[in-house]
Amino acid sequence: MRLPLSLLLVAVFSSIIAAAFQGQSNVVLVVFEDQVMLKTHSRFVDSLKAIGKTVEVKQANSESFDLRADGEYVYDSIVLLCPTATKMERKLSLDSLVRFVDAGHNLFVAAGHGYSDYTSKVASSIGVDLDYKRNKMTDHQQPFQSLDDGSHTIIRAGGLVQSKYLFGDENIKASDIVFSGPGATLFTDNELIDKVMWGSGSCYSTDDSRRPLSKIPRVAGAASVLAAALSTRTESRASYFGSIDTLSNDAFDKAGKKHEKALTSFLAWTVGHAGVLRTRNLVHSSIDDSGSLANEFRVKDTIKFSIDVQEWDGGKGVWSPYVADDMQVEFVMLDPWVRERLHYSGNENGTYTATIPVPDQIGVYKFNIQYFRPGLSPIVLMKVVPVRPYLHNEYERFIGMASPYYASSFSMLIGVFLLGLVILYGNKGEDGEHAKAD
Amino acid sequence: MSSPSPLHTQTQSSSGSIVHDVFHAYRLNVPASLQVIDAFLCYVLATGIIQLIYAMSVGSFPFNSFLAGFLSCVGVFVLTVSLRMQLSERNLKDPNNRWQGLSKKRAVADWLFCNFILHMAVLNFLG
Amino acid sequence: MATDAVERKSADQPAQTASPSAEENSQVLFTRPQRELLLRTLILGLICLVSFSIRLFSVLRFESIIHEFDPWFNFRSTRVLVGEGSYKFWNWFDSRSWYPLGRIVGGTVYPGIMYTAAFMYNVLHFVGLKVNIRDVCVLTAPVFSAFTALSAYALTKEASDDAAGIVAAAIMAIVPGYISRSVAGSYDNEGVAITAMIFCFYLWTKSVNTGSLFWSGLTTLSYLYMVACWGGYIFLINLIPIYVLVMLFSGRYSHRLYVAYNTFYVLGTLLSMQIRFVGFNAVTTSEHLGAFGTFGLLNLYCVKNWVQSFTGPRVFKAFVRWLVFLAMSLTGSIVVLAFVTGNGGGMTGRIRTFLDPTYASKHIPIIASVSEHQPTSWGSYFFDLHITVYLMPIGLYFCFKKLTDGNMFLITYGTFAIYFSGVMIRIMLVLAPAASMLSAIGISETLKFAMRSLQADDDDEDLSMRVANPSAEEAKSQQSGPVAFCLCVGACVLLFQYVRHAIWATSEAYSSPSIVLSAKGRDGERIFFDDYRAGYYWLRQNTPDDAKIMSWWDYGYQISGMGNRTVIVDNNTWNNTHIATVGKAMNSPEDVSYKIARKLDVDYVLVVFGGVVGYSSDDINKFLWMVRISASVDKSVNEKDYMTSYGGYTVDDSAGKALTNSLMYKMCYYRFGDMARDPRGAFDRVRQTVVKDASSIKLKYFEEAFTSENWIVRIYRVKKPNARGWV
Repeated sequence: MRLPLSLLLVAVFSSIIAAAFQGQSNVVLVVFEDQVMLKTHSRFVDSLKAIGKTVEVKQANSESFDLRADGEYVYDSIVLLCPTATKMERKLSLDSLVRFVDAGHNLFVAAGHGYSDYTSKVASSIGVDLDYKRNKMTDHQQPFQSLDDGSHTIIRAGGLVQSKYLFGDENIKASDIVFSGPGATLFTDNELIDKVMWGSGSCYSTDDSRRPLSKIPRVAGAASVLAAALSTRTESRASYFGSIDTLSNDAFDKAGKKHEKALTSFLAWTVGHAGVLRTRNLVHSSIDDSGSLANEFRVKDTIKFSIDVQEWDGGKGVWSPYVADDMQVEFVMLDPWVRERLHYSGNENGTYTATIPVPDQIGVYKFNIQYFRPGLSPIVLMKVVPVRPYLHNEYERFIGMASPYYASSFSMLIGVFLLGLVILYGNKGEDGEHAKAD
Repeated sequence: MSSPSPLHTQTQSSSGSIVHDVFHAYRLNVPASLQVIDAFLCYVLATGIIQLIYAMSVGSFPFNSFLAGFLSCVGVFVLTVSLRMQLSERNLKDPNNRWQGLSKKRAVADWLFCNFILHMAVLNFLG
Repeated sequence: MATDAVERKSADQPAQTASPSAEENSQVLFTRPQRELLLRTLILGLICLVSFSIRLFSVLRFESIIHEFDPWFNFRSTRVLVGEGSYKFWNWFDSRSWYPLGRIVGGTVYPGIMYTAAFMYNVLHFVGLKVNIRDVCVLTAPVFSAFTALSAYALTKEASDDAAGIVAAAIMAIVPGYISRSVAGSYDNEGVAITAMIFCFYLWTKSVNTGSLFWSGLTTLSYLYMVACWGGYIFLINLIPIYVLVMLFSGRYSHRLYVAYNTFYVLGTLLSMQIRFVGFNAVTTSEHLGAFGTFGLLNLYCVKNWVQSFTGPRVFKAFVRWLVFLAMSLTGSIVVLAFVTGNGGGMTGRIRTFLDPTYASKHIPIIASVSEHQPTSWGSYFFDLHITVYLMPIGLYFCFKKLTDGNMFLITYGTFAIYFSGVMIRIMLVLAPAASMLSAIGISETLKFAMRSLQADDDDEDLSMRVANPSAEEAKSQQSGPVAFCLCVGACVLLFQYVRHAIWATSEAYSSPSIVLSAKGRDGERIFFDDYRAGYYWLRQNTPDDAKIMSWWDYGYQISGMGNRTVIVDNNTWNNTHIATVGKAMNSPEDVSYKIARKLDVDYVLVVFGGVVGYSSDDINKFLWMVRISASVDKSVNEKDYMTSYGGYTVDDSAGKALTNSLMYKMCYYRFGDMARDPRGAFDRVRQTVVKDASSIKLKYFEEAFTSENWIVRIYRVKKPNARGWV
């Protein structure tokens, strides 16, 4: 009797502990508009399950969205697939959503034709400026034939960022991706948002595609943003995709495998499955033993700089070393004085090292790593370190070239001493004799 | 004022003979004890000039060492000239100089004091 | 002390006083020389006490605090010296000022005052008095002012006589021109440097008077101390050669002069190079060229004399011709070589301003902007020197009347000090001792004449005198009795007025710590504005340790000293471009300033605004200097944009467009319209106008972090972009 009870207790405790360790990093909240969308967009959401995330599905008209439990965030990411849902503000306020993202959690927001104010506010908070809700992106030259109903509002994308992290495959072509919805632009005073998919040169945004244009469209051509991504400073990601209609199962069937793969990879990227980098162990020390502390260097020193860069392997669920040969570290004081390539040392921590020669200029420098690659988390590191001049006893002690000067100084010293002796005690006998006046 | 030295009959004014004349007059009129000091002064002068030539030809790289060495020569020269002034009888008698009570020992002691300062500074500056 | 037997200058007094006193010995307790010694010591002791006490106004009124701006840096350095030792101080690299350039403090500072205060501190601690370093620093200058008075006594005694020396010490102790830079709390270089300078002058005069190598050696040691203390040693190293030249050309050459000057020049130059800040400047810059030239000239003159002494006239003439030719060719070749190789060291801007007072305002605005570098006005001469202004010519007259080597030095010193004090108000400090000493000679000689006449009536002791003097003079001195009496009374009245003025000037003008402001309220009581310290302590307690503060360079030392934070620019003003960058950030629109602030990693911006209480040394009044300095580096900044259309500088409706857009304007007047203190609304008490659009100022990239009680110090935080990239 006791054994099953203890086993039960152990099981309960371990599950609690397991839940505590796991709960943070694997639960994704998906918000659908209604029951219908639950079925029509199931494959998009199932892709999350395929990468190992636990998906919690709610609908826009659910009672509450409690993001926190016991002071901690329950969800790791939020996927908003409810562009036209109104009344979301009361349940999942923009403020709490923004704080969720700032706290280091991911967000995916999809917009569609006739989106609500709530959606446009969410998009604005991550730097995306949506076009009028009645407008749709129209392309008379590249419509997607199999889905098109004659209005040319289902278009192919014109360009995208070639990145295996973002879209699963480096060789994917923009024209493989189908889009139907409003266009957008990016706010210029946000430095972190970037477009990942944009329209072709022949697309433009209009509310009635059958009528000719009466004025210049607000969003057109390659300046139109179809999908955008933001990597925040708190290591989370916020993505926007303007076409919820092409995320449906039906669209996946008609648009092809590549389209499905690209968009599900984009979603996987957003929730942190691919392309997540982290840095550890920034170490800087002096190579020559000049006796200085590791956090203060001297001019003409040599610094050994090392940092561990690791990449999250979503498949295996571990941090593996990130291997690349294009990272560099700068040694900056107002302007970069030294730039050195970081070399991978080969170990399993992903340690990169560089040897930085300290310039012959004193000042307060900083190590600067700014590594931006599409699809990868940005690495922005700054570490301030002063560089001091030589101490008074760090110069060469005896300089060969100066030997005549050494010799002469000492000879003067000795000469003075001797002369003094001679004057005082020499010619003792002739002291009294005052010679002819000088 | 001293009695004028015997005039020489050479009337050429070439520089070589001027030097000769001066040197001859010097030999006659300057007492031996002061000539010793003068010899030392020549040595100091020579050392200084050698250093100057060396610095101008090879470069004055450890400039502080050059200055230390050169100034030690100049300093010793200047101080010894001052000592010589204070030891020469004619100067001691001149009321304008107010050196009536200056004994030889006192003069040498002052001279050594200044040399001490000079050489401490030189050694510090030498590098 | 055989070499000390200097003859007394007072011609009529008998040289020996021993004989009459031998008779008195049996009757009185002290002999006459002993009485004189006692009296002299007492008087000098009292003078020292007076000079110390008069400087204590600010300590008694406010508290023991370091004043002004520069002393805060000296204080911080002294703390480092005392806390971490001499090697650390000598090698100190300060990474918390001039961010990110850093500053090698060990090599860019005159360490004399720090070592002096550290020495006093260590001595006191050794003896067992555990005094706070701040108190030692605050009281350094008054203590040294007592030494200055004693040095003035010694120098005047060398130049003239004992009586004049005592008067000189008395006048020097309280002359307002010197008090201004040496009150308690003014822990600045000049407080110690003037002592060193007068002492060095005394030793120099002594060595010229005695021709002893010992005194010359001591002169060079005190010169080393002077070089360690202040950049004004340039005055010294140029005045002494000028004096030598004056002596040469007036035919007063003697071997004493040769001994004194040569020792001084060679040893002094070598010793001055030991101070890192001076370094090789002593042999490469134009400022030291005069001394070198005089050295050469003096030696040549001496060689000529020496050769003349043992050769005949004919040989000698030929030798002289040869010597002159050699000298001129040597000089010419050296000058040509120097300029061809580019080693003809230029003069620093400050020194050029001395020779051409308009130079700085044309070329280097940062030198022209310092308030201490402004030309002296007539009023300040009288305010700082009072009666010595017109007693000085009297002293000069008496010096000329009985020219001696020592007198000549005072004349030279006084003349050149008068000229240079007209260039910069700061040099009044150098004129004050000269004025004191010369006027002391004037007073002393006048009083001597007067007293002699008074004494001639009634003394038996003057039997010997009457015998010595012809009767005509005796009759004259009897007749001038009443005149002499008036002279004495007049002199006393003058001196009383001088003392009154000195005390009043010190109390009213020179005793404000300038870090604590005070004003008299309506009912006469004193109100204190402690805003500066409130702002700096806010920084100290509410910002991260590595926060960087951007402000105008005036406040740099105070922020470093009291706030203990990294600053971008400070009072050392060694890098004009960096200051111009900060100036550009202050006078540009907000987005340009924001970029500059981000580039310099600035976290907080501090401005000083006096419009609420009427404090007129605020940043809006200094603003045009910020524009000028940034215009000297960045040609796109145009001063006219910041002025009104008719060329004036106001902040009302006609203010220049660039001014109202500038960051400084916005930060000073942000929320000023909300202040309800004045019924007229946003009324700026300093500029005496209503400020244009004060209520509508919005700041996008900066947010207000702290405003002190009277709005004098305002601190703004630089907004960094948040996690999602928004500012």
